[in-house]
Amino acid sequence: MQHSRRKTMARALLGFCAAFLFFPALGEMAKGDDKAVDGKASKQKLRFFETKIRPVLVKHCYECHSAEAEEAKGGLLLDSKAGIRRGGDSGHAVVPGNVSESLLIDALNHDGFEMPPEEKLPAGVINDFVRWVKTGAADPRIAGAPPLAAAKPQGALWSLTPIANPPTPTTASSAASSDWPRSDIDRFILTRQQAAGVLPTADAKPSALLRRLYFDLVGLPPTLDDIAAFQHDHSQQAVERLVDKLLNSPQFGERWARHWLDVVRYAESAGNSRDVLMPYAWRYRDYVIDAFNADAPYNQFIQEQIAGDLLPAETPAQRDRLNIATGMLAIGSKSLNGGNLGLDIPDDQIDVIGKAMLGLTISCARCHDHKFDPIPTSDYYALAGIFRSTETLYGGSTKRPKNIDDQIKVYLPLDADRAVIQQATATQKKISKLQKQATPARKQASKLARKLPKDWKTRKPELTKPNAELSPQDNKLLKQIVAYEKAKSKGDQLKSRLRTLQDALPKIEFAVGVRDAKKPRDWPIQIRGERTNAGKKVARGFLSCVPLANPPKINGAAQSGRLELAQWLTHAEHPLTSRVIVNRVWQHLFGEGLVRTVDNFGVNGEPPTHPELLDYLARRFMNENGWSIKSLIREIVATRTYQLSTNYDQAAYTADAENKLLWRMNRRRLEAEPLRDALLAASGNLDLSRLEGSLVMEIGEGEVGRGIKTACLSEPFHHRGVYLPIIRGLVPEHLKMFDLPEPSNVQGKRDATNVPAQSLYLMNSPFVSEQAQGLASRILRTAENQEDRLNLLYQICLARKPTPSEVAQSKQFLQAAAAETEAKKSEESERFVWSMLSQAMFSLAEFRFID
Amino acid sequence: MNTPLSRRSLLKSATCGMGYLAFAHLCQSAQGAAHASALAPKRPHHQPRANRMIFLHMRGGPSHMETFDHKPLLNARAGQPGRTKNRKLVPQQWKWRRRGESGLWVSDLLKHTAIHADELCVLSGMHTDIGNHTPAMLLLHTGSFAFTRPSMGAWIMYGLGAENQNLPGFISLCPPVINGGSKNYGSAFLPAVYQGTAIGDIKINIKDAQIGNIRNARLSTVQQRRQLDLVQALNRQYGQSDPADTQVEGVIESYELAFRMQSELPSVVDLSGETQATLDMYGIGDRKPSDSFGRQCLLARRMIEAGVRHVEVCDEFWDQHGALKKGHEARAAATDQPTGALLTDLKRRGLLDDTLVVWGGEFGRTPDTARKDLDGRDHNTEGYTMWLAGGGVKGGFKYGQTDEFGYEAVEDRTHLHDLHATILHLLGLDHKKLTYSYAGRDFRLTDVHGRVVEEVLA
Repeated sequence: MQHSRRKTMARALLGFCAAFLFFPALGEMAKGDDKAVDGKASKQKLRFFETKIRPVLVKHCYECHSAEAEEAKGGLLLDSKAGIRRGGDSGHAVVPGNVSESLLIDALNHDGFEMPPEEKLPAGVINDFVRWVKTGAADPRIAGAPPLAAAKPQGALWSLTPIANPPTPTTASSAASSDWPRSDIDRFILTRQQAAGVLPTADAKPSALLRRLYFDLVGLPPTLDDIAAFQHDHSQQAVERLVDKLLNSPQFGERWARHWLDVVRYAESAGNSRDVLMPYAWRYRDYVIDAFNADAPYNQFIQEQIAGDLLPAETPAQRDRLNIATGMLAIGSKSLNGGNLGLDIPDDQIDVIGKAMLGLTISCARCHDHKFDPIPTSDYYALAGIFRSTETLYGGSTKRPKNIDDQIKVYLPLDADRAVIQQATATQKKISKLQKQATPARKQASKLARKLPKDWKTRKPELTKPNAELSPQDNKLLKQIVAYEKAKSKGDQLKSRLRTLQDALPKIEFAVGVRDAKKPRDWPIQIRGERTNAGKKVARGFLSCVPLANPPKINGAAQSGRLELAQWLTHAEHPLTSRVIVNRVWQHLFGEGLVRTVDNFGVNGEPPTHPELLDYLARRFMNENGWSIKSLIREIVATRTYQLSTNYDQAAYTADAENKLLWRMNRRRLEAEPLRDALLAASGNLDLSRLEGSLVMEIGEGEVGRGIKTACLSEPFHHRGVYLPIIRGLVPEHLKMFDLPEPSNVQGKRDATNVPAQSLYLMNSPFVSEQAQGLASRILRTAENQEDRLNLLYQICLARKPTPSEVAQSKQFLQAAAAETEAKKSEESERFVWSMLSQAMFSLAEFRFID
Repeated sequence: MNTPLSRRSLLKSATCGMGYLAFAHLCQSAQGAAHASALAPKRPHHQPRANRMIFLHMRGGPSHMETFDHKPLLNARAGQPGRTKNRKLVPQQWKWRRRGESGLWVSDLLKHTAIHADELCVLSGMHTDIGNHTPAMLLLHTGSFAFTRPSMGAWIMYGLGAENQNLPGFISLCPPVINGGSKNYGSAFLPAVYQGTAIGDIKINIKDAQIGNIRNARLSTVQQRRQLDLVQALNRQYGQSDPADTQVEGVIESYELAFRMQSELPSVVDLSGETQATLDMYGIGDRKPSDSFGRQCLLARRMIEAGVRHVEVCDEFWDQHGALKKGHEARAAATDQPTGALLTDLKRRGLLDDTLVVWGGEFGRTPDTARKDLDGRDHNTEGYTMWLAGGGVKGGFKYGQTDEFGYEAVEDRTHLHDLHATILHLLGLDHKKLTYSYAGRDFRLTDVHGRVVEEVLA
């Protein structure tokens, strides 16, 4: 039997899909399906079919035995109830209740027939089939139903249903819980807890809450002043004041921009095959920081990144900002050597928009209809048409731009009107033309100079004396001198003209970003994603599975359609955009999203743990708070739920080990940047000023491994982690070590790995050792006696005072370390033992986690 | 087929199927749960033939026609037009001999490797997808050149875990900085714990390489131990309030591991205890062209012996578009003796039986050239040679054939995806079952491709 490998794999994936699609916990979907079922089949039997039988049929049988198969083998169709009961040329495949007459069971047992032909299915699976047939072969599938993706009824995917307006739940008013909720968010949480019989744990200690708020909102440890103030007053009003202060500090944008940069795969080089630097990518980074600090409404923020260049601007500065915003589309990883940029760049753009903004893996539909989600290939190419009608300016190929003429072809010029650019290019043309003359002139002069004797300058006066008697040799020399001087003066003239022109060259700054292509147009489907295999043309448009009453219309000939895409994404009724972002924000504050698969709201993602709360948040975010991220954060951190401790509770843990009900706060690991910032803050070395530009810009044009000067990358860098250079092939050690997501991929949720390399880094790296020494000096400088010093050390590192036992252990350590270090007590040895203790503090789990 | 690790069987037996698995992974990484034990040895899918592997990476594309693919017709027709008028056939540059009992053809360029002809399983029908160095190298290492994907070593670590918990399980010696750099040993979307540890880079002799953060410049071991004791005591206090906690436990475990690694790794990479005879055998010695590669090979052997799962050893560029003879001679001078020594050494220590050695570059070279001096060959993706040895492959065996000149594989073609599938198979992993769920789908090293080349299995 002929089997195409590609198909087999596709089917295998489809199999997983089915298993997932009908995963019993997806209550809503299972219900939707129930309606199609004949009344006799109990829900349980149906579930059995969906979890045990259908996936196997899809995976192992449909390839040859479905309406979709090229030719149904043996006349047998197994993809509908009618088909499987009728059977094929040999007889009934399934006779409900009668195992011995069901040929399907024989075939699975390789008894008479051998199906699937490659290898017998595991005994457990065959037993499932036997059980299924015995219990009546419940089967909800309708004959002639279209294949899986299309078979999903509109709205089957929870995330595509309109955002509901759920009523605020009224919580059971037991004495224990009536005053517990502080806001509607709490009520949503508490209702679910009550339903499950789980009680929330205790509130967080003030010191833990302070530290949590600091790291969550600004990514830094609390200042000593705030620690003192909060000890004194930690009322809810004090919390709110603190939250406002943090939200308004410039460090807020630096912290939250990095979250966004993760999902838009921010980096400053092409990555992949040839790691060409993008010296202007940092402008986009700064744009994001500014947007978060200015609390730019999220819908506007999205629109700017997709179509900033097409939005109106009132000032040149605004124009630049909007152009820079489109850098999001340009900073993706590119295969500059051997790739297929015409298709790959749009693919990257669709991928990032899909995952980052919609929580959908649209790119899967590049080669075939999406295996799980309702995204046909035609939708993919409708979007691809928009981006193929867009010109992406990221710096061009491996041949790097050398002058303004090159630059304007591969970058977006900033703060420059057309006239300035024209002047610049005109001047550059003159420069290039002059250079063409100047170089030969210079060469000519030096060639002539080489022919002259060394002493020609001293001999020249006698040769040029009036009436001088000149021998033929003298005459020759004189001629040579004259020729040389002429050439020299020509060269000098050209050189000085060049210099003047170069001085007159207007300075133009650049950014990476996009603009509409000259001739926007629709593009064909590329069959199996291949460049050389074009199918029918698709009108540019959006995802057909998103039900919007009045989607924006693309004016095909005039524009790419990016503006309309931006409007579509931020449409008030769009079911995904707001849900995805409020879920991301929730995740950054709790460690888990309400939808735990933050980048995947599709069939393969997880459904929300609190669907009503998610919709409440999304609706409120758009309608009440004008898409304000800061308002959303403010409301969430004010809740009792957010302010819970991480305390363990046996009963709650037994009922809900994964803490889906949020009966306590999740203990979270500090990510790479806040960990690094905290180390620098502790030592006093942290430079909170904003980095101008980027080290990548300092390096300039070039390519990793091919002669770029990277010395600056290993120099001490005391700015915040968000400003570290992200060269895809040279990600800074610290970031890589602590799970910075691979910057070529969209990743909204960071890993929290725990590997010995991290321990070695904290134990031995020069960077950490330097901060430990810095902290030791700071402690010794600031506090006098050992008690005060230990207090200070704990406050700096853990935002709390040490317990008596910790004091005792620390003292013991200091004593033992000192005794061994040196017999005599010198200042140096004191600093040394304190630096050891400081480094120990950095290594503490408590330092590396947020409680 | 129903090993405990089989995801497929789990899918079928667990009531909640794939959903549960994906979810289990998510909570695991969410809680940072004991990632240290993510490196614990895992049961393979089936009985492995090899437990570890060494990849001798000949960057740049060694010529199959100068090494293992004997094409007498090239000499007979040297200088005559090749497939196009302006390209002329290049004669084979070295003498050919049948070697060993198997009579495998190996040219005189690789005399030391030739001694082991009866161990080699020569794949002469290799072909790949792209003829530029970098993407081809990424394809060789990750199965993909257009997207960032986990490297083969990372997949192996994910599938098998580490044999020795005190050492990195996947080490890349002197990897290139360009040509995809760290992506060639990266973990991409697999948890970072599976990425390779690089020691040195291609630009330096391995003897000058530093292993990151393996030593403390300021503290003695005693001092550091005291420091660590305090850290661990405080960590235990911090962790004990939560009996369900695994994260803090993971941290504690990780420090102990790191502390042990500090002593074990330097001793593994320390060659000072090796005898002069061993050093000589590997071609190690000042000013010897094989010094760095020889050290790498000896280190690879020591690492494998100490329980490292996957070691990659890397050579300079075999990329002779011109000066083929001189260039290949230099590459052979650097690598041949160490390669032969490695095979000898592995065999002698009984390690070759369950160690898979893989040799080759990202593609091969053309039978013809546009150069008038006929001393050069260009990139060829359509036909080239790699070889396997040890760990469950047939020795003295040639599989696959190029046409009479060496332009393309015409018989028993083996794509890189097939090689990957075969390597995983030898290591006890089923390339179709070794999947990882990321961004909504299950990924594999071989994507939707790959066939285990059963013909080469011993």
